[in-house]
Amino acid sequence: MEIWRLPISASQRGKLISAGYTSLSSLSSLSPSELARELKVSETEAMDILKAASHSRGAETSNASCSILEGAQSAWDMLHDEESLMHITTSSADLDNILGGGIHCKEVTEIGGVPGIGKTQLGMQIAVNVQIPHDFGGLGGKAIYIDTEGSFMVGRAFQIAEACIEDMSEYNRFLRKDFQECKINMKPEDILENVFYFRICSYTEQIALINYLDKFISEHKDVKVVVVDSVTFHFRQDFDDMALRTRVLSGMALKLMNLTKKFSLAVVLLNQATIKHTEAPFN
Amino acid sequence: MERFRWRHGCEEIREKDGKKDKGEYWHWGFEFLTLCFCFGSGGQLATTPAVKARLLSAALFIAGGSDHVVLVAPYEVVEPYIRPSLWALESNFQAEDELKKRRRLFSSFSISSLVKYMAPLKNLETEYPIIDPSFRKFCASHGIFSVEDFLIHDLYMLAAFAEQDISSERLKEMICISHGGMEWNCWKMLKGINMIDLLLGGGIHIGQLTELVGPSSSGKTQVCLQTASNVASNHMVLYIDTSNSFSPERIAYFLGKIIDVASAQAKNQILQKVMSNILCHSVFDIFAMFDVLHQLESHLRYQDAGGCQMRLLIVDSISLLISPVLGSSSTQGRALMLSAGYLLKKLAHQHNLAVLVINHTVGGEGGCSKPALGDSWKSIPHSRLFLSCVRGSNDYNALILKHPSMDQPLQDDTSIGSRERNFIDLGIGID
Repeated sequence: MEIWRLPISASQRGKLISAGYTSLSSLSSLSPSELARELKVSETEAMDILKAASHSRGAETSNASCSILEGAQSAWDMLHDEESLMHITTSSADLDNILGGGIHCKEVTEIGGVPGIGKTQLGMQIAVNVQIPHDFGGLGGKAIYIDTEGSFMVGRAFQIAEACIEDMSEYNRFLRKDFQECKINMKPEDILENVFYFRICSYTEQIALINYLDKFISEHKDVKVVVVDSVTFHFRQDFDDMALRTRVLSGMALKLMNLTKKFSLAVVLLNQATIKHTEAPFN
Repeated sequence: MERFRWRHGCEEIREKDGKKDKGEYWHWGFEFLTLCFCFGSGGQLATTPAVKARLLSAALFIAGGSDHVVLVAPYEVVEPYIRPSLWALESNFQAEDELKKRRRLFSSFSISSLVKYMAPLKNLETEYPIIDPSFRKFCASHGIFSVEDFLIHDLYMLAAFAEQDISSERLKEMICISHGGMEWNCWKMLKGINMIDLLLGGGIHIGQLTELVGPSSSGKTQVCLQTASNVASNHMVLYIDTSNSFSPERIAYFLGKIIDVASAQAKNQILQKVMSNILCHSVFDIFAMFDVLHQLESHLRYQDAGGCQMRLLIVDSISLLISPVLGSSSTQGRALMLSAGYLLKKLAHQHNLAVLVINHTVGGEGGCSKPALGDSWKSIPHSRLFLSCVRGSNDYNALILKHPSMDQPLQDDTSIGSRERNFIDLGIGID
């Protein structure tokens, strides 16, 4: 990123440094006529200098397609990435079938339904299933559970964890007889320890938490799923300004999508369905 | 000698909400030529279509005695406003002579392209031998005397007439020549879905900003993906994705239908080559998008002339980026929206890109939906296309809200459903 590495003549380099341009980024937003005026060289020379600067900046990034933009991927690479992504199973074969293998990482999945249909149970199951070790086909990661309604029952989660371990040992007995040790080491308490639980009591807390998640996940890199139980619970009542609600919800959605892309995790949002249809731009 | 002096005219326009604005124009004319320069008076009102249309009608009325009128106006004025105004004016003029009427209407955005635009057909005979006397006779029978006339006419209707005298192949060749050989940015198009190309008059224009509006699940992302896969075989495409809606499998599916090669390995190779031409970048807030656009601009400035050029830029859901900042008490949101719009248009015009932008709808008055982002955004895109899904069936409808080469539809958007003009029933299931 330094000027002295550019393939230009020494006199040009000297002029650049004496004019105050020491790094490539300072050259990025200049037009050739401005540079020509500053350095007192001809415009073609200025154009060549700027071209050399942009090429060397592009050559520093590793991938050929990224020389245009940092962070851009070609569609071909994305296709192959997607084929190698793992899924989180929901423990129901039919649901996994509809979802195309399970809950996808790098995606936000929303599960909605009428009250009492089993969304919270499904959320808890996903938080447990993400911890299935790699040997059994799972992700072996931790989970974040954000509870807004207070419907997370620890006793029930304990039961789900026990059932999951039993399931794994049955699978183990069925297929491979020599992995007994790793199964025994897992206890329901360990599974519960790997679920980070947050209790939210108002919408401001929710917004604050979603902003904080970025920092939290950078410290706990093995978090692989974020389950938000009833993402819209605090926005349904007592919200006077509808436009503000829409703006806040869409801002939250964007931040969650940013999280998935950045850390390669899955976000599961549980939502309630009511009889009156309001077209919220919240996907 | 009075006729040879520059005359200054000034129009005072009073807008609906009581604001006043002045528009100035200068014109100079003698018997067969009038030159008219149009300016706005600065300030926000000068950019409204009403002011500009009034200016032009005033100027042309004064210049009514001439055969040729040459208007010199900024590019921003010409494309969206002058062309429809001229069409409106043409119908008002009571010229006895058909010939005179045709030659009146010219618009230009630079003096040099003026000459090419106005060129009568017979001057082109040396360059393009296809324009022989019989062809010109055919054109003259439809009132076409210059290339401009040719492009204004409805080409499909002409082709239908052409079936009778000359073969339509020659007409199509002529279309290709006039499009390709004359270097007009605005007439080059990119092909997407057939029916939508028909609506848009050939495809998505290079150098212009096209907007796709529609309620959710009306097929906007699918249209974008299909357009990207069509264009990717020859040019590079940048897809700026804000809602995680870019799906490589879908692109592979569309390409699989187009590529017609027997062996699976060759197909894979072609697939790899084409799909490497599509770049996808995810952004989740508007400042990141500005960053991406500035990087793109500096790359495009110094890219090599040969090789694969970038020709299509798709922004999926610009409304998703802008709606969190828009509408609060500060005006920063609106300023960001407008500068995003102008930056996209500048990229399109300076670097020969076609820009396709997706917008969603919100509820309007009376329960029907209208496009999001409000009235300020309405005037920014060059063309707007409204997609909707017929409930209960697999049909999709598309409706043109605004297009530079069609006469201006109604000013308000509240009655979208009842408009019959420029409405086409796609009648295809988006599978």
